[in-house]
Amino acid sequence: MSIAVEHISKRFGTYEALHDVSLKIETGELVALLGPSGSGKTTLLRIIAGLDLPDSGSIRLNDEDATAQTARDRRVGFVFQHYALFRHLSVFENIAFGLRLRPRATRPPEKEIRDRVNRLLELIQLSWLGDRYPAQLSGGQRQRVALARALAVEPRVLLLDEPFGALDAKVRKELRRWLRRLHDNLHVASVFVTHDQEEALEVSDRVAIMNTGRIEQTGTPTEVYDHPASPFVYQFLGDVNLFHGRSEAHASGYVRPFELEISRRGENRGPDDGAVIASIRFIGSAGPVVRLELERDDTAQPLEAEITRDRFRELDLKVGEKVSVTPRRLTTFNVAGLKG
Amino acid sequence: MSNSFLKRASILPGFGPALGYTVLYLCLIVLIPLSAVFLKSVSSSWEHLWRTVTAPNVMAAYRLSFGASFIAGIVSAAAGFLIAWVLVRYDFPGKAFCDALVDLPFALPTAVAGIALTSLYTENGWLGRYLVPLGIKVAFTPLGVVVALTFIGLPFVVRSVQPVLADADRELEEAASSLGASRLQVFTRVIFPMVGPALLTGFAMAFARALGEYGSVIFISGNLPMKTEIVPLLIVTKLEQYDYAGATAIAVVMLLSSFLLLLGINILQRRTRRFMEADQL
Amino acid sequence: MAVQWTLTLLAIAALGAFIALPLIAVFVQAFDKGWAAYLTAVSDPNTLSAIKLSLLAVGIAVPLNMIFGIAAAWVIAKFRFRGRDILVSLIDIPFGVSPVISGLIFILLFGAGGWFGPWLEKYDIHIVFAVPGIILATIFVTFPFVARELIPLMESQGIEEEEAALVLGASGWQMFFRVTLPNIRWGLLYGVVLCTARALGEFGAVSVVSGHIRGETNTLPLHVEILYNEYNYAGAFAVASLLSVIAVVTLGLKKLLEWKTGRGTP
Repeated sequence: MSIAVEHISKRFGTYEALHDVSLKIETGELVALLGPSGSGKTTLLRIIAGLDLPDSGSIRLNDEDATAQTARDRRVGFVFQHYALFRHLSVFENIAFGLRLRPRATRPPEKEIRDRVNRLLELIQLSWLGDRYPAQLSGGQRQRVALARALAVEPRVLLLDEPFGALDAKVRKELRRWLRRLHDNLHVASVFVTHDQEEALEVSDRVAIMNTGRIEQTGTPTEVYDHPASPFVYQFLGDVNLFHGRSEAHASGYVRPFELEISRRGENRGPDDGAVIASIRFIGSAGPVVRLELERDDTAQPLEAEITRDRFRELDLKVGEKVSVTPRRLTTFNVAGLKG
Repeated sequence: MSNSFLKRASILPGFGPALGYTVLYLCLIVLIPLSAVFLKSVSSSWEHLWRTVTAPNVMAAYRLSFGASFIAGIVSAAAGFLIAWVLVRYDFPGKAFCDALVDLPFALPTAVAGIALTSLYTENGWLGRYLVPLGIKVAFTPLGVVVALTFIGLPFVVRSVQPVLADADRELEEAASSLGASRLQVFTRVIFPMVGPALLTGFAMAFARALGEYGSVIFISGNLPMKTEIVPLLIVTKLEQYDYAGATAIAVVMLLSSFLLLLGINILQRRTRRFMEADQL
Repeated sequence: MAVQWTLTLLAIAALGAFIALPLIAVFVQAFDKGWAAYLTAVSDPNTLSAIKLSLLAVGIAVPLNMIFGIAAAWVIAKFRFRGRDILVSLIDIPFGVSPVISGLIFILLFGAGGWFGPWLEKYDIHIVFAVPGIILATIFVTFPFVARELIPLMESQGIEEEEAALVLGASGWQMFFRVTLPNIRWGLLYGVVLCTARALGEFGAVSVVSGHIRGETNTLPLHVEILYNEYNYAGAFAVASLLSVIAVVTLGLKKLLEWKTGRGTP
């Protein structure tokens, strides 16, 4: 079941939330809408679900125009950022909610409802919590119940708004891998909204990076990371240094901390290899890589570099020492923001 | 989207019918009947109106109503602050009961309160028999009006001060005393400025309610002409004499003053809320 | 410690003198002439008809204001629209109007010299100085109670649960009865309890429109007044004690519901 977003625009008063956004999601695909807050990603998700109405453009679900359909008729599974579990219903009844609503003619018999809810409880590994109420659950448990509730009605597409936003770091990691496996078993088109680039790059098949109501770039995680289409995408996907070359001949560009080569001044390979001299201001040596905070001698501009522990030990660096810094890979954009 | 002019689009159902019903019911029950008062008052001559609302007995009633309401508001504010303070800060047996008791004037019919208070303060009442020999006459005097209005006003003050006191950061007080402030200074410099707006709101609400109060007052006041007649009583008296124009004229004066008061309370409440929000940051 | 106990005792004394004492006085005076006199006063036919009329007024005013309160709170708490703030202020108006004036407005509308007076007279319909007037005045006076209770509650609950119900396939009414109503049930009950208490106890407004026809247009509080003015103190306090019991029960229910809705005072 595919989703097609075609030329969607949406304003809230004078604020332009979405500007001519188009996106296609195929069956079996898991797509991340990635962007900072206010970029329009949640609005887009809500428009796909029918929870907000676009000013112009259309939504097609499985090649049928669904723009005029109500949320009720679209049969989408939606997982809310704060879960929106029904606080007066038990976990079991929360999951059964969508099935019990159906008119008698299409409602499954009670036994089938029970079986289906129990299967879903097993799937989310919470069989023992069916009688509890939402207030008695942890954040991660609520998240899974919200997902089971959305899946109970056998949705055509699955939409998740910041699914891991309110969880602590460890639960987040577990849950997103679990979600990936779950998605692979479902054969639906899934879209999830996140502001966390690591999460988007790790879980999704494709990433759509949004900024101020527009999609800046779509592509696989590798594509967008290695070939960012704009300075915004480049900066949003990871830490970055703005790097001006030593001479006018060098264009200024962007370089990631791990793409900076650090060497002792004596090791210089040539007079004009693009290296600049910088002083070490701080060394963060906890963790798999060592993080150096540097200050360029010529422009006093701060730089951040990451080197392996082995390299750090080999160089035997101390705070206050001067080193030479060379970018291994410099990404440049022209004035229009297009890749140079 | 027929409603798009009125509202920001929302997919929740029922906006149109619910708004329609709300406005219709509001108009039928409140707005149209109330507008009758104002329309009725402009239908009679200006001069007649002016003479009615400035007649000596009406002026005396204004003095009594506003004066007694004001004093009752002050007494309520003082006693209410004390009660709120004790309920928030101290623990003692029967506290929950005392807390529930505060709301009694909201729940007790005013006529019941009126006859009960009267029976307490007459010459051989439980309190009157000690007060009258001392020369303090409560029943059938302006003082009785104040007592009844204090009964009515007290819960307003307690209930508006209580949440602010409960929310107020005790660390601030501790910080102040660690800086060498005396108990009195902590109270006047730290606590009072925090609770001030809520206390003023409570006072204003008690005052507004007292101005219009009828049932609890008319029994204890004795309704002596020029002495213990409150404004609402004059309206009733005029109605009983079928002087609808006169009753309406006095009612308009009362309505305007209570709407002004409500406006003031609204502004005060907004300020209190802002304080409480700022406090949470 | 000394300050604490002094203040506590002062507060208890203030509560006792201003609030508890009148309540106690009602019950003591009610039984002043013994049980038999109490029962006679309470079972007097005029008392019984006053009870009936009071219940009738409550039975009509409370459900009407409840339905209004739910509709108004739904619109105000769940939608953003022009004029929303004005609507909120307008709903509060009856709280700022003297009970006496609340009665007066219906006399101006439906009384002999009122807007609809001649028309009503022509068809021999009695509103003022009759039961409909009492009911109208009661509705007016208790108008804001339920709406006022529900608006902040529904606002704090947001719209996500309703949206979730719709996405799961609920119709508008299914959403309302399965999600919205269960979520507000305690707050709604709280508002209804306060509304009922006020409707039963309203005096000024009802007094103005009733005409004081004994056995016909007397509610319980009006009956108290009549008995009192006839110097039948034991009778007046006996009927007053019925109303006081209701007031005490109201306070108990109120506390219980405050505890249920988790907003009990600390």
